[in-house]
Amino acid sequence: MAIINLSLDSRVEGDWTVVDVKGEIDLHTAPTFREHMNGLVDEGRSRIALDLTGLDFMDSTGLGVLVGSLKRLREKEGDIVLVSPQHPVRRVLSVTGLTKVFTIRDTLGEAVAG
Amino acid sequence: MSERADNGMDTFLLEIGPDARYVATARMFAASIARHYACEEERVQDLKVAVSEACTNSIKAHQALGAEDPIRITASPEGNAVRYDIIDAGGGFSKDGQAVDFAAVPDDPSELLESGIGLSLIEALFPDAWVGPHPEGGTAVRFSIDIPGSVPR
Repeated sequence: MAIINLSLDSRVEGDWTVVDVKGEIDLHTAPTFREHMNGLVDEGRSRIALDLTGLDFMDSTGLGVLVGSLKRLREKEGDIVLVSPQHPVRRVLSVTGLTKVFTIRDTLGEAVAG
Repeated sequence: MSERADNGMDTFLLEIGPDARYVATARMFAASIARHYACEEERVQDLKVAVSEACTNSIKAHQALGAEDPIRITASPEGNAVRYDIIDAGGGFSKDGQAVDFAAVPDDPSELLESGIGLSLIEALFPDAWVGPHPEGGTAVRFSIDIPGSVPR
């Protein structure tokens, strides 16, 4: 029985694809996250806003997906914006230096305005 | 689930099969013990990451070797801290103590990033973390979370 503690809901807002990420990203759920991100990139979405308000936990398996996706998008002159990461997720991004690599915004409004 | 160790303190043990779906269980177990001892919540969040990283490495090691042995996570209160050990039966270290590269090279380069960053993330969050060969084979990862207000040794 597969218990997936991650939900990913995508919608389009103007030029942006907004993904509501809820739950936890770890070894078990990271492949689902990777598949979803690869799918968006393959569809030609170049501006992706990840709403992390409901993301309670992320470890390096999630970071790997984020970095891989960012690399692919930047090759196509696209970008990922991380919206409203919660404290535990922000901590992991900060400790790994990735707060300097990713665009992080506190609200979705700020993210898609750019 | 709980046994008395030689020094009279409780040691708590969780064994999980080498399956990714149990990493969340290991986090819950570790966090519950730490909260029971009133550890600071910010450090409990760091603990969850460290346990998740260690278990991830262990599960990958077991899967690379085709090992079905469980991975053991122990939590031992030791006066002013709770000590966690994550012990696997994977390739880990060879007999002469050299690290064995047990992770197969993945097709997706972002997975290589994950493997490399896991241990460094543990050490960034818990600078006193220790990784080494376990006497019974495999690798042990150890780190401790402080119990606030306790008397330092």
